Amino acid sequence: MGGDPFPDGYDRRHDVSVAAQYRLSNTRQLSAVWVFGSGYPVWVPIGRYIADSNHLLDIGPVNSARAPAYHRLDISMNFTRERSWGERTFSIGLYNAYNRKNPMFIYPKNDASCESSVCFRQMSMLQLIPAISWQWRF
Amino acid sequence: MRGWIVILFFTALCGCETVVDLEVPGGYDSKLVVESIFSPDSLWRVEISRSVPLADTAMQSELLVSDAVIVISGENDFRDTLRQVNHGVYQTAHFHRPEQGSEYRIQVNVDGYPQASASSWAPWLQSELLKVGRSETDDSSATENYRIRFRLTDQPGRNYYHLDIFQVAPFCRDETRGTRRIGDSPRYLADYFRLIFQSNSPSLYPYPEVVDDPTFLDTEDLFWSAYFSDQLFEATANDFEITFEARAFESIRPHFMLVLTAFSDDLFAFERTVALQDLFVGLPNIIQRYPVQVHTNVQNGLGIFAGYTSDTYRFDGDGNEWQEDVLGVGVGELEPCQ
Repeated sequence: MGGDPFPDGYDRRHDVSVAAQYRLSNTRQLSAVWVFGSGYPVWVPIGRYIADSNHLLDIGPVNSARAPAYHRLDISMNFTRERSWGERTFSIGLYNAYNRKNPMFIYPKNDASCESSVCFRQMSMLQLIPAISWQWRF
Repeated sequence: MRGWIVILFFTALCGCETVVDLEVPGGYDSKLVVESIFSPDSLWRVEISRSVPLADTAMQSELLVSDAVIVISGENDFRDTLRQVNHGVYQTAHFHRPEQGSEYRIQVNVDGYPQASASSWAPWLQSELLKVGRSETDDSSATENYRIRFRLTDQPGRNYYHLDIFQVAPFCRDETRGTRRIGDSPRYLADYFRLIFQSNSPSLYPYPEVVDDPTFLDTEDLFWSAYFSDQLFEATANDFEITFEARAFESIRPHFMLVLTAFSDDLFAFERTVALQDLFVGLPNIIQRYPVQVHTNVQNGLGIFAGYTSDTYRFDGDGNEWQEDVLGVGVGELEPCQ
């Protein structure tokens, strides 16, 4: 914009994934994955003014702000049984086990819940989700 | 089982909106906001205010700026230093008005801010009302249909226009709601209300943000207000025909007002970007994901200094011209509704 450099929209500076598995017994296995990513750049208004009876926003430099970091923990428990025809694994788990509200969109909003005339809102999706699966190997 | 699948599906897609704190490095420097949307029909008038950081809780009146020095200059050594007439509002002391086709420059000096300046003009507008006619109407209906034709002669270069049509109606004051509404009594005050009109002209668009947008697919030919450019009739004369349904009142015969406006480039860009920014605010809009900066032609500041020119045609149901003072349009106090 105007020849000035700016961070790309997918400029995520830190990206960490930690996976762990613990065998409780021959038939039960506990798994966990923790994912962390620092916030993506976002392009947001930084000032406000009034012109021609319109409440207007003064937009800041491109991608000059950072969204909150993304992180979540996925856990699952696997129950494995040997069968005559092969192996059956039953899994139950939780996606985003601590129900982190990760940002999907960030946008300004002007309603009564804002302390000033405009504040930022984030829309979060894919919060705590239970998961269940069966797996057959033969 | 099916019930569980439905519950899981909706849980996965369930959205949650929360307030979030965002910090922008570098802070925010307040800017001067210059607002003057001028036309040859009005005296020079400018409003000066300032912008504030997004989280600032200042009220609207606190943004206005007093003690600004404002000079408007133009062709033929025109120069006018405006006088403050109200908090943040400045006006010519010499009853100067912008002239159609003339270029003007504004310079604004306020202590603590760099000098803000801008240039614009009141564009040329050449139009002609060609025909007013009444269409066949069902006698039992409380409405009458009209068809009007007008001609617009476009100047070279890209030009933008706006079209509105109004009818004069008797208005009264609704005491319970605290608003005004249309009644039908000769005691009530005559004033304008906007009419919905119909046109099959391919030039017309319902909103400024979609003018000449080839991706805009709207099959409706009804307009509350129409915006258009000269893309289909560059530097030529073009005839437009519109039809509309007027309300019939016992207390007042049909009187109409057609308003054609030519926008300067800057004013149209301002109107367009205001509408686009409005789409960005308040909704997690996936299409309009990126914020739109409202157009400004003010150097070292924000706001708009831009002109427009309007032609107004007042005609009654038989096509005869009428004057506002004869009907007393908009003059006097609203009577309580009976």
